[in-house]
Amino acid sequence: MSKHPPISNRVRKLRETNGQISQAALGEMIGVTRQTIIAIEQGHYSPSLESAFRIANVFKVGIEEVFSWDE
Amino acid sequence: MSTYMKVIVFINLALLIVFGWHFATVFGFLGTAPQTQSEFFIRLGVILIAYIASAIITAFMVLRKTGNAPLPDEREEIIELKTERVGVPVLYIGLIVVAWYAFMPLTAIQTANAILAAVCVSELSKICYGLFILKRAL
Repeated sequence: MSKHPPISNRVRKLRETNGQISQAALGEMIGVTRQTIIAIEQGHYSPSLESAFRIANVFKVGIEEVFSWDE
Repeated sequence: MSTYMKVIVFINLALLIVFGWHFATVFGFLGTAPQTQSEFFIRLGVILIAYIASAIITAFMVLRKTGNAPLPDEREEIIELKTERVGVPVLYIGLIVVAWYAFMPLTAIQTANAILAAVCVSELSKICYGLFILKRAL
């Protein structure tokens, strides 16, 4: 299995600072399951570009404010 | 585990239970195994009907509970693709082994059961690998 890329994200922090959006609610907004949101927050799964943009749009921020490449 | 993954696991487990019953009869642990071609085809029909019935019942139960059909999201589609990457080579290896043993003095029923066993092992490896990567998140 390939190693996870060095991508970190602020999804959890953004959820908490934007009215405590639940993982399930965020998942519903962008069309993925709660389990996928958990995997994204824990850094186990890198979402598709489309989902990354959808997440950024939910929080009304740029994609670079949600995801960053740590190298 | 999401509803979609639960449905997939449940249907595959139902399939493995039916195959398990079949092989239990083949090895003499339970009832009698099919001995003739017609008995074998009836058994295959029973396995197929049980598989379809389990899929229909599962889909009906999920629809009643959630109101819509469960669909995979992007991560679950990747998990399914990864399990195929394991299941297909296992099936090929199983069929190659069966092809090798086809030159041995095996009966037609034994050869047919060996092919079914290869399919069964392939499905089992897919389920096990799928659950493994689900446990690791991906």
